[in-house]
Amino acid sequence: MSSAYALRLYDVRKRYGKTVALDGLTLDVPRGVVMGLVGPNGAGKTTTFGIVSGAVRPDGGTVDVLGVGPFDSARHAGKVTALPQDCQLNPHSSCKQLLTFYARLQGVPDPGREAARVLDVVRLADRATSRVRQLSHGMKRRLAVAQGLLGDPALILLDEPTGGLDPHLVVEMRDVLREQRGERTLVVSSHILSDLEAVCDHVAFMDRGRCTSSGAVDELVGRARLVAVRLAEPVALEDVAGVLDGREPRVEGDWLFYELAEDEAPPDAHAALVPALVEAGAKVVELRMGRSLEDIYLESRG
Amino acid sequence: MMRGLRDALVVARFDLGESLRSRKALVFLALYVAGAIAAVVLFTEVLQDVEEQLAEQLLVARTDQPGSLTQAVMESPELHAVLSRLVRDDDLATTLLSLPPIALVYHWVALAFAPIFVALTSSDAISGEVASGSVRYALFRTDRTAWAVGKLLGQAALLAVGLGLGAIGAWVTGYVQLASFAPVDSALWLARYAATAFLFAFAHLGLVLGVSQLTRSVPWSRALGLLSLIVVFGVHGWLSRDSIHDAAPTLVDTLRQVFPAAHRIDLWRPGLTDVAPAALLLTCLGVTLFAIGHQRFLRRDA
Repeated sequence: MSSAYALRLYDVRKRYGKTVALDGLTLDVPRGVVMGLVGPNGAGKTTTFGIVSGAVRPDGGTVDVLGVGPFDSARHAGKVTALPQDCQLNPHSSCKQLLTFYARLQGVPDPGREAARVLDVVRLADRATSRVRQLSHGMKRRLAVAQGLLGDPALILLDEPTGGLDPHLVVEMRDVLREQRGERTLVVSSHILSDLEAVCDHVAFMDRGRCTSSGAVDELVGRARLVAVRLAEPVALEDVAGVLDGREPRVEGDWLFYELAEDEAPPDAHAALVPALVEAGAKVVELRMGRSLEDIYLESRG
Repeated sequence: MMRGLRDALVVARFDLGESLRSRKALVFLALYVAGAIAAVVLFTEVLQDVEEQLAEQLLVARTDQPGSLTQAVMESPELHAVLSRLVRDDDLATTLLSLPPIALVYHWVALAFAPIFVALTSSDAISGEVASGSVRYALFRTDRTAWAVGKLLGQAALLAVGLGLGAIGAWVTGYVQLASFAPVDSALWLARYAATAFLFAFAHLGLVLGVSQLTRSVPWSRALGLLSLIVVFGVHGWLSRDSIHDAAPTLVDTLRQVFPAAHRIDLWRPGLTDVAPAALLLTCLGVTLFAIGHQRFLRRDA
């Protein structure tokens, strides 16, 4: 349990008939981070979650969950929870009965109270006695997230936790996930990159069963040094080059990027540079640190 | 080991509750009770006809309520002959004719229909959860064997509820319909025969749940469950033919032991020591058939 990694996958392979789901996936997830798993449909994200949580048997490779080897319920029950994708909950029980069952199975000391706690976390306390089959799609999704928060797991795997939720519920779900940050390790997959950018501190890009790149979000998007300025209309590089001398500026569409020097830091650097840019003719409409995760992802896809 | 047993009981308790809350199980339970009651009603009508004929022969007054001349009917040589042919044992036939007739009718109905009841209610108990994905919420909380054994125990409990309700229905119907009804004796024999019918059905439950672990398709598991029952009864019937038996008596007698139907006659015997070997064999058969299917479930993706 002393490993610095909550999860290590090395050369993991999995086929479904002729379809290759994982083709030598290697991925490290440090302890205590919120890691986003990004990739197109069929990249292998769901299979990865299945293997880590013991539902899917890998064909080869090494899986180490919480530093004690591959998933084994005897070692990992209660320490790993998951929100599997497109998996239905038992429909005939009430929300509280179902969560109490999972909590009891997980070995949580007071299952009824724990079920009530997580129902409150996902804002479903008022539906505790409703049958699962009577819930809307979004409510079922929140209930599925709730079961992943039961007890005190060290590692939580969430496959598309915001899929099918109303926009305001997406915001609430982000808050729920943010509250877990630092407490435990979360691995979250989503197609909505802005969601991941908002909650994740690490990200891994997957494609065709492999991890194409991974790292801290701040480093990948350049949040520490890279300044992104959106302009109302494109500007010629030579018009602003003088203002940004030595900061390696470049223009991409209506975005102007430049790197802050070692001894510069926001907000002082912005206070000095932005007025100079405006004076040089740039019509600034937005300013932020780093590129968007979406840009990085699209770049990684070529 | 203790954790596995505890988890299996937690799963069994939840599974029974979930089954009882589902409309499908309720419909089958109602059908089972209705079947038991209908059989008793039919029996009392036949009994009334026989009694009317007997009253004419004995020149005694007819009665409106059947059962007034039950003892005379039960002692008739014609009934003894019919029963002897059915159980292929003169002594057993004589013993059975001294038992409450309601219990005999109930046992006959239960032995005939409980395997079908099991196939209809339980054949998708495991495949259904694999198909819907709900098993994935449980498998990171407990191991596959504990979960599957829990499903077996839960479905066995559902079967016990069905047989128990059928016995109660038969008792109430007999109490209302028969003039010479022995309430305590009938209740004791109904309970006893409900237990032996349960053991007979349990062997088939093991078969059906073993099959249910082979596939993730609900239609397939239902079809295979019914087909396996047909094959088991068909092969046993074929082995029981005199021409087959005479060709290789020792081999055929040995082979027949692995078919639940071979132990059906022993379940009628009133002495507990006479029933014990059949009860043990039927329990072992159920567990073995379930375990064979479970070997596949242990190795596959859930």
